[in-house]
Amino acid sequence: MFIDDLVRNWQKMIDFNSQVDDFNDGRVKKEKIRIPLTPINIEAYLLYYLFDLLYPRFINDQLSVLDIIVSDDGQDILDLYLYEMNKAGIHKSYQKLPPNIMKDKFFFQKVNLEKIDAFFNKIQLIIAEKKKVKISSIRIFKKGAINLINEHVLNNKEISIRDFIRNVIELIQTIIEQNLFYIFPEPNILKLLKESVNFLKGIRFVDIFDFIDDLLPNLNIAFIFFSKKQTFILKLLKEINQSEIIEYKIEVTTPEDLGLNFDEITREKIINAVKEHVNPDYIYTFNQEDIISLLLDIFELDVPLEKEKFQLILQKILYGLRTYETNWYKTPRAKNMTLKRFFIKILNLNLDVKKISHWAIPDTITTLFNSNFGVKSKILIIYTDINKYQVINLKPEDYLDITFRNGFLLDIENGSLINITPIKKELIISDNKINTIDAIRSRFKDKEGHISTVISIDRSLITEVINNFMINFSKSKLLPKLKTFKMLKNQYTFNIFPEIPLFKLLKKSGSFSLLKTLSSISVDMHEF
Amino acid sequence: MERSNSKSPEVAIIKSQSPLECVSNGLEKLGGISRYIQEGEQVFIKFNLSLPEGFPTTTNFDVLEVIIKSCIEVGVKKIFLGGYPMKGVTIKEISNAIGIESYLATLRAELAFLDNSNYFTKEKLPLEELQKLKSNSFSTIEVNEKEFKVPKVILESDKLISVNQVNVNPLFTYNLSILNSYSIVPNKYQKIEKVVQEGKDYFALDQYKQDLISNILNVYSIKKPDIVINDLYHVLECAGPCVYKDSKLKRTGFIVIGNDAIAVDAVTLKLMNVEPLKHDLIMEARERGIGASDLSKIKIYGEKLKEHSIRVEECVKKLADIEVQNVFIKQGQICSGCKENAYHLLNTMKTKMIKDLKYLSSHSFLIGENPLEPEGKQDNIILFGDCAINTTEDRDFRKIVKKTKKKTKVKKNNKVLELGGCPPDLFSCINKIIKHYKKKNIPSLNLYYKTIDHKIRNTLDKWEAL
Repeated sequence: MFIDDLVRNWQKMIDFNSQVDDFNDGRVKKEKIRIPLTPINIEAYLLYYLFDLLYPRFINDQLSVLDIIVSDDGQDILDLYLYEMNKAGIHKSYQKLPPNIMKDKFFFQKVNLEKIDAFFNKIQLIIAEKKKVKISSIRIFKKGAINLINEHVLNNKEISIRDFIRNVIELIQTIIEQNLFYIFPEPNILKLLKESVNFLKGIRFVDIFDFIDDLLPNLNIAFIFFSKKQTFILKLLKEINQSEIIEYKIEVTTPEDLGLNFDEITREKIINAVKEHVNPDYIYTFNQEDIISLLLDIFELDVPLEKEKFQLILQKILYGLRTYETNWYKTPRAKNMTLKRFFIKILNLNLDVKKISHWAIPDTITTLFNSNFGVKSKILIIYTDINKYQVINLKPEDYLDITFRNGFLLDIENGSLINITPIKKELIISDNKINTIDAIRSRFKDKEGHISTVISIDRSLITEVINNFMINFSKSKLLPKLKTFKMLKNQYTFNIFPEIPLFKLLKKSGSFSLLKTLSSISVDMHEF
Repeated sequence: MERSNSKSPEVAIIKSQSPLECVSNGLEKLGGISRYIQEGEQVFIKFNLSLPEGFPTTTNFDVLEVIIKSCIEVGVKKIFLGGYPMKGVTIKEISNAIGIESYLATLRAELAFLDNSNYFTKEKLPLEELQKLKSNSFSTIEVNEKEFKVPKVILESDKLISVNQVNVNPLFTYNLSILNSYSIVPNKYQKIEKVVQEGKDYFALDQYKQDLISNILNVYSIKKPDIVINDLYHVLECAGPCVYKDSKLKRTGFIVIGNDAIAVDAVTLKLMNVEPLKHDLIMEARERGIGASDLSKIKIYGEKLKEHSIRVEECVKKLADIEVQNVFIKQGQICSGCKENAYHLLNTMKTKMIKDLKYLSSHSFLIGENPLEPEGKQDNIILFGDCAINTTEDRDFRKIVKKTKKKTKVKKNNKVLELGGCPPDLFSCINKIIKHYKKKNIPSLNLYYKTIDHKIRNTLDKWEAL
C-alpha cells in the first residue's frame, strides 16, 4: 500500500538493523539511509541509534508491534504487519499476516476504534495464539493516512527543506484531525498533538511555523547533542536566497564524519571540529539526556495547560537555562567579561543567565498576570508589522488599520489559556471609524462580550526581543537591550488598553531603570 | 408569569449558560426591571471597585452591561455607577487600570468618581478647591446617632441597584451584597474606632466585629437598594475577595437576584451551604428587623433552593494557615479588625514578595495583645497592630544587649518593624515594609510598589483629611 520509494527505504533500514546485534557493530558499516518520511539522509548507524534512543522513550518501550491498515470507515482490516524486535524501537524484521486473522476465533474482523483497548486485547490474544508473539503495541493506519503519507513522500522529491517542514507539519495535523492514525497504548506525544489540534480549532500548525519562521533572523548554527554513547551534530542554516526566498538547510552528522575517532572524543574536540568543518556562527552544546528529559516533561502536559503545570515546566526550562556552562554551552562565549563585571559592580545591574531566578519567575509571572489582567479575562492581541507597510506618518487612529497582520482573542481563566480564536481584520477594524485600541475594545464587545484588554504588538519588537534577549542573551552589550525597552514604550510597537499598572510603570520608567527593575526580579541577588 | 404581586421579599435563583442569561432571566422572573425602575428616573448602580485589578475583584462588566441596557430600555434619565475602593486606593487608578470609564460611556452610563479623584491629576489643585469639591459632593446623614457623609449622587438617585460579585471573605465567609452596600460611604466612615467598654472583654466578645456589623447595617439603612444582584456565577475561592496567589476561580453557574439585600444574601448563603440564621450579619439584621432573613418568608423563583448546594473552598480560618514562606505567626488575643487586615497583608506578602521572603530569611509576625515570643533571636520581627506594639514594649527582643569586658551596651533591635494602627491598613503597611527593608532587598514588592500612583494617593490623603 505504501509507495515503493517509502518501502525501499524502510526495508533498507530493517535490513541494516537485522545485521546489527550491537550498536557498536553498526558503527563500522558505512551506509546512508533516509530518515523515514524526510528527505534527510544520515548514517544508518546514527538512525539505528536515534530509534534506539528515542522510540522507547517517546512511543513505546516494549517489544513487538503490529501495524494494522484499515479501511477509511475504520471497520475492515486491509493489511497486517507484525514487527518482531529484540530491542524496543529497533525494527529488525516483519511479516505480513492475513487480514482475516481474527475471523477464525471471533467470526468477524471488524475494528472497533471507539474501544481500541478491547480490540487490542483481542488481537493480542490472536497473535499470541497464532504466531507465538506477544505484541505490546498496535499502530493503526486508515487507508486515508497511507494515501496522505504516500503523497507526502512523492512531494518530498526536489522540494526545499522549508517546504518539506511545512508539508510534514500539515500532514501530521491532517492525519490527527481526520482521525487517520492511532497508537495503542497511546504515547504522550500523540495525546499532546491531538489535544493541541482540538484546542487550536482550525488554526494550522503550519501557520504557527510560518509565524515563527518569519520572526527568526538568518541563522547559521550548530547543535551538538552530546552523549558518551553517540554524539551527533545538527547544523541548521536559515538564509534568504538570491530570489528573496527563505531557505533552510539541515545536516545531521556525527563526530566520526568530521574525522574524529570515537575513542578520543571529548566535548572540546567536537566543538573544535564543528568550528572547523561546519563553520557555524554559534554552536550550542547540550546533553542528550537533558533534552530528552525536557521533551518528556513537555509531552506529558495537557492542553489547555493548567497554571501549575505551566509553572512547573517553565521552572524546568529556566533551571535548564541557569545551567549554562555547566550542562549546556554556547560557543563562542561573550567576549566582554570586564564590561559585564563593571555593570554588576557599578550599575548594580545583573544580567547573568547563570543566576536566573528559575524558582521565582513562574510564580511572579502568574501572579502579576492575574492581578493585572484578572483571573478570568479576554485579551485581544493585534499583531502588526510597521516595517512591512513602511508608513511614514503613523497616527494612533489609523496605524492598526494599515499595519494589521493578525488578530487573536485569548480566553484566560485561572492563569490558563483555555481558548484561542483567530480574529479577522474586518471584525475589529472599521473603514470609516477611528481605530485606536480603546475604540476597538469598545466596538468589539458587541461581538464577543467584554474584552478585558487589547494589546497591540509589532513584529519589529518581537524580533528585537528574540535577537537581544534570546539569541544574544549572553552578550553584555547594553544598548541593543535598552533599544528594545524603548520600543516597549512606543505606542506603535507596543500598546495596551486599558493601561494596566504594569504597563503604566513601563511607560513612565526610563529604559535603564526598567532593565534594572526587571533584572532584579528575574536574576538572583545571591547564590542560594 | 410566576411573579407575585405582593410587596414581600422576592428572590430569583437562576442557573444558566452565561452570566448575561442569568441576569436577564432573573429580572424576567421578578417581573421585569420596569417593576422597579421607572422612566425618567436617575439610577445609581453600586458595584465592586476595591482595587485596580480585573475580574473578579471588580464586578463582571457583562453583567453590568445587561443591567445598564435594561435600564436604558425603560427610559431612565441618567445612570451612574460607582463605589468606594479599599482604603488608600483611588477610583481614578482603578478606572485607568480596567478602562471602565470609557466602557461605561459607550453604554451611555457614567462612572461616578465618589472620591473626586478625577480631579486629582489636575496639576496644583488648591486645597480650597478640593475642599469645595468635597463639600459639594456630600450630604450628612445621621443613623443611630452616628453621622455619615454620603455622596449626593447616591442620595439623589431615584433608585439604587446593587451588583455584587460574590467571593470568599475572611471575616464574613462570603462577600455579600450588604458588604457591597457598605462602600457607598468613604473609608473614613467605614473605620471602626476601638472603644473598650468597662467590664467587657474586647477580644472575647469580638467587640470590633460587633461594632463593624452595626456600622454596616447603619450604612445599609441609609439607602436600601431596590434591586440586588449577587453574582456567584464565578466565585473566587480559597483566598479572596481580592486576587491572591492562592485564589482560584470556580464556576458555579448561578446568580441570585431580588428586591431585598438581606433576603438575597440569606438565599445566597443557603445556596452555598451556610445557615443564614447562623451568619453574624444576617442574625444582627434580623435582630434589628432589617430585611427578610427568614427563608420561609421569601418568595423564591427559578431554581429550587433545596435542589442545589454549591461547595466553595472558603478562606483559611487561622492566619498561620496562609503559609507565607519564612513567616511564623505568633498570635496573642486578636480582634477581627487585626485578623482581617493581617489576612490581607499576609496574602499580599505571599503574592507580591515571592523573591523577597527568600532573601530576607525568616520573619516572626507578632499580632494581637501579648503575642507569643518570636521564633528565633536572629529573626526579623514584624509587630502588627497597636496591641502587639504596646504589649511588647518591655520584651527582650526589643533590645540587643552587647556585653564587653568593660561595659554593657543596650541597643534598639533594628530588626523589629512596627506596623502601627488599629487595625493597620494594607497600604501603609506596604510603605513601611519598603522603607524598613530597603527597595533593593525586596525587588518583588518594590516592583508592585512602583506600579502604585503615589502622587494621586497623596492627594487622596489630603482629600480624606478635609
